Amino acid sequence: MANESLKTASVLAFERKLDPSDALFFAGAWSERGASANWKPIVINEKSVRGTISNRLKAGQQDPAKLDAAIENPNLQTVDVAALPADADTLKISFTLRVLGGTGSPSACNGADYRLKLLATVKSYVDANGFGELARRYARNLANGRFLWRNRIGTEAAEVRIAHLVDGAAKSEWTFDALALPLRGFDTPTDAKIAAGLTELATLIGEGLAGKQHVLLRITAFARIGAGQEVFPSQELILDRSRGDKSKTLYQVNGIAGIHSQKLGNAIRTIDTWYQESDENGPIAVEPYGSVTTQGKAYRQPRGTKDDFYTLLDGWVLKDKTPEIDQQHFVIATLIRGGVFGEAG
Amino acid sequence: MSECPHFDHLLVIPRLRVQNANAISSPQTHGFPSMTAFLGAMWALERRTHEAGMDIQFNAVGVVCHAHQEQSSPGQYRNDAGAFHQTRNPIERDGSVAGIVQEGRIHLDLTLIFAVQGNALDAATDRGQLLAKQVRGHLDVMRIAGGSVVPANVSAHRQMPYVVALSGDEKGRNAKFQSAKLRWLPGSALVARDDLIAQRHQQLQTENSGSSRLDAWLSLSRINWHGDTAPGESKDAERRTVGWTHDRKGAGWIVPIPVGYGALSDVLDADMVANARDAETPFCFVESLYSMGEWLGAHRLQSPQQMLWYADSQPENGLYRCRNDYAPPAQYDFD
Repeated sequence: MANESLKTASVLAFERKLDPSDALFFAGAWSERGASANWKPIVINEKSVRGTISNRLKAGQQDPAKLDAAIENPNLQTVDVAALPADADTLKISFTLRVLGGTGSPSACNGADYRLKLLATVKSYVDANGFGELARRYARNLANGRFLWRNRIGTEAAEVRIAHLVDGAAKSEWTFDALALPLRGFDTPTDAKIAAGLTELATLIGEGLAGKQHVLLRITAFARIGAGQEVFPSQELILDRSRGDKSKTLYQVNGIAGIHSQKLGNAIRTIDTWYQESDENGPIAVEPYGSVTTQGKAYRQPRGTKDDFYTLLDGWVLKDKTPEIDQQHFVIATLIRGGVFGEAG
Repeated sequence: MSECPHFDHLLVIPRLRVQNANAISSPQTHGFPSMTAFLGAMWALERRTHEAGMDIQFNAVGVVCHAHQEQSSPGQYRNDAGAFHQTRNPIERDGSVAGIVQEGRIHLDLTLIFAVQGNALDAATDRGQLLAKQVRGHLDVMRIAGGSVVPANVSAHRQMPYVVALSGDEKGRNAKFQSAKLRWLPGSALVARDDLIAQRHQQLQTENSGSSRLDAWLSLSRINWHGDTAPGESKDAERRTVGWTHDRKGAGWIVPIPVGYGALSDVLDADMVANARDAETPFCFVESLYSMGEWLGAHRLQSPQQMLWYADSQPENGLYRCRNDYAPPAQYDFD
């Protein structure tokens, strides 16, 4: 029943339900990945290089004499770099992922009526669909090693091992060939063994999201990149950088190169194939406006396609306009992502 | 002034790794989350355990920090935070870059020590261990100072939570604590040093009668260098060297900390303030209260009360602060 007086709460926030830790980098030999506990951590080194000035010049700057002077000057920079040692050809990336229950229950909400309606709405989705479809896609993104980001590109071989941790020990474990699972689609793989493993993992993640049990996964990925090759940890965003400082700072945790937890989260929730241009563009990360930072583009526009999160959520909760099933998946995935969604009062 | 509430057990959650906790503890201080965040976490934990039907009362909390990594780049000076590392957020709906809301983050390795009491704990000891494990399970899915609890990089055995029963007479209790604290090494506990402000205030007033307690707090928050006139005679008065001394020598690891909140308004009824987070709890506008704290090696603690923080609310005075009963040991001069 539509309630005419129901309004979006001005304070409305959700905690993330897929909570990854930072990922850490280690190096070793591909043949020894069975005993990787003692692999050496990858450290970040600093290097200073003498570069050239090669940026595009503004139209007004093209006075030949000045141009020559500028271009002939060296471009000195200090940057951070991380690479495999010369005697190790494989990068190991490990992190843990916590799956929490309570999707749809806001961590902060100042409208009691709205909260009740929201919980009922999410419950109706879960009763009808469960978390099966979403969990299947999250599992797929763990198995295909999408979270390796640039480290996945150009690898000879990549393997992902996922363990379900109970009391600090692995209760069950799966191994996937990451390169056998393409990044573009979420079709069930033809190999029956891989498909079965994915289904088991998805069931576990689904149970975690449903709050039936508290799920902690340990994900270890091996990428055979080649001895001495550069690897790619996260880069730090430093705003007030003074002149003469390092122009690139890489992320490290107690001296070990790492990927930010936020970046892992973005890879794991890259499951949105329900927006309009997905056929050409492939899956994008679940974001309220379907925004893709690397493309500088938002695929879910409130004006044009009216399939952004807020339009869908308001229609669903306030006006009882139940979206199509694909868009329902998107809305619930956004709630799992978390964020501050209140309406400015 | 209130006293630390009574308790007969310590519930210890060792080696907890908290990722991306809030490093900005107040408008004036940074570097470690405020004690109020840990008290808040304790109350949230108490609510959760009560809902789960566990009969434990949480009275106070102590924090031992084993390692910390603030997400910042060093600035010009060695101890200067420089710039905090920020996060890049998704772009706006029109494709433009979203504004960066500046925040400070820190990774922490902590041991949390809760002062608890309850009938459930008085039963057999193995029951206590089970209870500790359940509490740890609740804590795993919570946020601490805004940060996520992730598995620590130490053996599972060392992460196992446990209960220390402080039973028996004063001597027995003491012995139990003395052995318990050694398991928290290497690590430092934060204790209150309110006394330093009064001391510095007195000192400053001898120089300038107009100086306030705020001046004392600011003076303690920094390293003050004093130049003295060079000893001995010099022929060339202009080229005398000056000896520089600072006032931190032997002072310990003293830090400015926020200790709670002071009311700026009356306590308003629930639902009176627009856009408050919670429509069922009375609301009050507050500002931070400041004091000094000291990081103390866990082995230096003489009693659990020295490290435990508890709430001291005086609504009639508009004070909502946390307290700690540490008193510095008397200084003996053996020379």
